[in-house]
Amino acid sequence: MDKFSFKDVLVTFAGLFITTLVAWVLITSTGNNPSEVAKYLYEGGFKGTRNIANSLYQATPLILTATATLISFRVGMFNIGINGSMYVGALYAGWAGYRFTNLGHLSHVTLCILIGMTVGALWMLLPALLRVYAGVSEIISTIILNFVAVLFVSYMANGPFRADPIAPATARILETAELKQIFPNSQFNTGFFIAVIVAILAHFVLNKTTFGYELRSGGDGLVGVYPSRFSSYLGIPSDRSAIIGMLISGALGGLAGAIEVLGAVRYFFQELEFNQGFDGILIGILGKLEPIGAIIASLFYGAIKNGGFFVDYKTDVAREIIIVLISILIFFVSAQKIVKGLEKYPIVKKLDSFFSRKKM
Amino acid sequence: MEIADRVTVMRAGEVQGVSETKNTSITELASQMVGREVFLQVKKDESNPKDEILNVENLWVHDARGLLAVNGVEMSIKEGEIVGIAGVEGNGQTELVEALTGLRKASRGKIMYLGEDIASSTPKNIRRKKIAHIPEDRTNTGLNTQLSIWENLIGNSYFRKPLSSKGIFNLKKVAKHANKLKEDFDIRSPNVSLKVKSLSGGNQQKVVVARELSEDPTLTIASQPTRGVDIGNIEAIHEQLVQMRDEGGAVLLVSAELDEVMAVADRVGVMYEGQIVKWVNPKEVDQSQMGLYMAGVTE
Repeated sequence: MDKFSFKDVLVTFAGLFITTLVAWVLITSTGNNPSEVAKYLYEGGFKGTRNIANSLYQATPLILTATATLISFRVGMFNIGINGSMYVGALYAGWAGYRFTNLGHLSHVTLCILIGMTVGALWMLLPALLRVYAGVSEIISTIILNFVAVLFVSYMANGPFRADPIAPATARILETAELKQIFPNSQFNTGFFIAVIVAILAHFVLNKTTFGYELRSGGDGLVGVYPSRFSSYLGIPSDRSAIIGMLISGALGGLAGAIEVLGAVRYFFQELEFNQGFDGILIGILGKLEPIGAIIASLFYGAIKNGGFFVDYKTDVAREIIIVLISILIFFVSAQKIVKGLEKYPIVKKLDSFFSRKKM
Repeated sequence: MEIADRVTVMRAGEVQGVSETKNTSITELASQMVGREVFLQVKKDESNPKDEILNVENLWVHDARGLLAVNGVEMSIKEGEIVGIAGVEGNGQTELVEALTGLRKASRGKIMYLGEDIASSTPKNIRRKKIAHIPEDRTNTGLNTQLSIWENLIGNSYFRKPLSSKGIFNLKKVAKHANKLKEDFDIRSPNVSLKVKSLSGGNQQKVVVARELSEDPTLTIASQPTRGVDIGNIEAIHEQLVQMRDEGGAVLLVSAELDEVMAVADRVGVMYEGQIVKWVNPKEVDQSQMGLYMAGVTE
């Protein structure tokens, strides 16, 4: 049952080690001091309440977008349109945040979140239906919809929803719609706990329920294999699984956007830029397509992302270096042949069998 | 046997013996392969057919390209008998099985199962009526090789108690169920958590057979059940089909292996160009006669 083995841990650490070496060379070659960068990266990620809170804040949307992506992948749909769902979810959660007045705190927040999730889910309905009923590749349609989403929200913020005469932005959300920020000087908010709970719930539904079993019966790692003959042979309607999987995926994307607006930004404006939908793809893979793995990988990514801001602020190294490093890390972590090479050492075998005892 | 001059038999990584083809026989090689005597002749008693389970009336089915693949099949299967369908591949067997199992719509005709027409029923409803299906295509249809062994084994039983209750798995019971099937059907794997893709072809087929026979089916439709399976496991699968029959089940065996159909089935229909052109008793015809039937020569 336990999908994480010692080998996975080993690979991750081997990947980290190699990434560190590559980073060292890269940073040195641009005339900077790698140990200084490492120090700031660590401090920015983990030192002090504020930095830790900010790291967790960075991780919040990633947990959701990674879970959203991995759900669609495990249903067998190659969905890369979570960023689009995140944009529309953020826009409409923000709209609900100022549009509905005279509501209590809990009911207003809940309403905004549900609207964000619904809009995010509806955003994925079109590619899902196109795939199921017209055979249009969901890869293509979701990529295109990412661009459509950016243009759509910027039109809405500049047109129908514009409230600010100077800047293209919506009105600020009401206080009743705010997800509370807990630490001073940090955008960390209660949305973090929502994200973690949702990911744990996703883990439970995917792995422990018959509904989750039906969803992933046709996929589970085989990406882009819809429609599955195995599902229809068992009498599980794979059309339904594909559509539901995409809707859940979109809803979680919308939730990520809603939390950003309700918990951190507090209004929607034209220049608001999201890329967590894309990072979520990498993090989902890094977390082995398991929601718990996605939480761990997001916490890690959030910390070094925040560390990256600190590095950017303190040194000449641009924070884009972080994206380069993460990419290298994922490259090595997904290089399964490296593990195969390590397997011949007896110590690796022993540790692996020790750590994978829990299996059925 | 026809091409080589000398044959080396390997089993479990060791050479079992080298022999000149002219000095050996298939039976001898087969017993070397499995390490014991193999019964190519399936051991079974006379069949004892009782009530009718399935009655197919004038069935017409079109294939994926829209061409007529089955035109007017008539067939009846009773409980306690194995009915075989022999024929050269591509004479409508695939479409016939797909229509019987709900995977393909029949264009015309009736499929009466226990007095009820299931011709326009879904695979789900057909499965719930205790019809098991061992499909000819193992890797894409019969299994999801990305899923673990236990996840494949519960494909037809995950929704019932005690494996799950109110939609939530009882993973202890699931493990018990899966491990029991693993033992009963001799699936060779250290545990049931491994992905099916890590198993050999024969063991993958055993996962399919174990799942399909596990829910006590009234009718078992087995299509090429031993394709790509090693000789020891072929024997085991044949025994399981005969056992299903002896316990009062009805079995439809569709196979392109003439030897298999002749050895296992109690009654054989020869399929040619979408029709069953001849019904024979496998004990009363010889292979050359069957060869003529399969080529459409029935006179």
